[in-house]
Amino acid sequence: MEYKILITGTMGAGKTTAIQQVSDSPAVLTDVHNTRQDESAKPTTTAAFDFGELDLGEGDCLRIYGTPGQERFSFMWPILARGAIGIIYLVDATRESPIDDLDSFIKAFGESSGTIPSVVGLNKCNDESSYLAPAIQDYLDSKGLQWPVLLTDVRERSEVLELFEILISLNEALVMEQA
Amino acid sequence: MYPDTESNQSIGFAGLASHEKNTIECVQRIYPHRLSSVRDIAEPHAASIIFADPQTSEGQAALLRSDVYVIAIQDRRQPMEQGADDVLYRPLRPRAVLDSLNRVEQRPSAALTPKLVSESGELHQILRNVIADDSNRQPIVLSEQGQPWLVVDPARDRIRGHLEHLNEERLLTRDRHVFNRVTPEEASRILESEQEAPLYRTMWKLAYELGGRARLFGNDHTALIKFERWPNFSETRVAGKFLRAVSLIRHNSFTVSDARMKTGLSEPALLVLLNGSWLTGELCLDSETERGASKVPSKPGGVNSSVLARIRSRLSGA
Repeated sequence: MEYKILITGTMGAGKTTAIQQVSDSPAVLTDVHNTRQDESAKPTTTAAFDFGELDLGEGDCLRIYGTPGQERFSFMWPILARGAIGIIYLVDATRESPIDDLDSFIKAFGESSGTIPSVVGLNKCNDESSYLAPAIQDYLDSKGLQWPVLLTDVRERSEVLELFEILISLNEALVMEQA
Repeated sequence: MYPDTESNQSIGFAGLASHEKNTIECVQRIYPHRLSSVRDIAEPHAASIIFADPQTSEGQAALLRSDVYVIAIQDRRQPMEQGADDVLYRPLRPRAVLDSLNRVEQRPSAALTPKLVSESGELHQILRNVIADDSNRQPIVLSEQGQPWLVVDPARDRIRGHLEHLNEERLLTRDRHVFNRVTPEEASRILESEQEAPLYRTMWKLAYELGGRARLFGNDHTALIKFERWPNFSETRVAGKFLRAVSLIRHNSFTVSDARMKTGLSEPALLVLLNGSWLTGELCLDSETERGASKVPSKPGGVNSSVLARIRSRLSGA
């Protein structure tokens, strides 16, 4: 059986790097030259979606999908989210308005936002943007979304693993609740 | 100066960094339903409310004006800006900005009349009640024999006073506590020369000092506990080992001994987490929680415990 976890966020939020940190095999990347330098200055971007895979044994596997970051692909996000066991929202703290970014992703995911275990990873944070973690928590509270917010550096494997650990634990809690 | 509520109010900035302006603009955009009114952004000369950095010449100029309401944005180590109508500390938290904007229309006559309240119990319970009460975020002043000794201001995340006396013994001694609610302006004048610290961080520091020696949430071993909100992990020093525990206790109610068994944490470690979260209002006894008030995931996506254990094992060993 296949299980999936989504990693979503704006262009340059670190989705591809995060997948590369945990994938068994080299992640399949669908990067092309970035023609939207107004949205992000990075030279390439994901045109379809990246994915990595973990063989869980017994015929099961975990697929990790990175959504394409451009808003014009937002129609795909809820489709990708169907049946997912978790969503990691990566927020790029260096962007002009990270909370608005997160808000647009949550809206695009629609109903999935309330039903799938989720965590917010605040990437590229520095002293100047440290206010963002409680700010995002306040924002989520106002939306009635009880998700954890973690400062993260997706270049560090251990920090990416922490985000996954939260999703696993949230799923364990759900399983326990239903038992 | 209190702006005329009949006329259109607008917000201006004097000497703020761009990320601080963004925070304030963001509050206007994402919390319109929690603001008493949403204001336009204007140039400082045309604004009726100005967020100003007193360390800049533009900020100083704004503070000299008598025709505007000035909210000073300053560092915690700087002395309280006396010319300002309100003060916020860096880093700017949206919730503090929200409270401050809602305070603009509270003229002095509308402010709370200081009312002395006396309550018997342990100090930690009073602190916890003040911090967890989202419906009233006015500062409180705790007094002893008529003398104020502690100012607690949840809206600004500040605690001030004789903090050296805020220790385990003081926290746990059952006593009669006298306190009163005051306006932010009054609070800023009380014990102003005493030590000041961030409230949230101070509560966590107390929880660490307490270790596993007390259960602030009560000694009823059959009581069910549950996380009402996620702690701010960037402030709590509780990293990886507590993530799983909070995830579990966020979704399910447990007794402490069940929580200990499920999370695998030692009792002292678990009590630090629970005491800290209790003091900051994030942990509740299950009867206090409002079921259904927030959206929590409801579908485990066909996954079972065995698969989750294998995912964890593969990730940690991959």
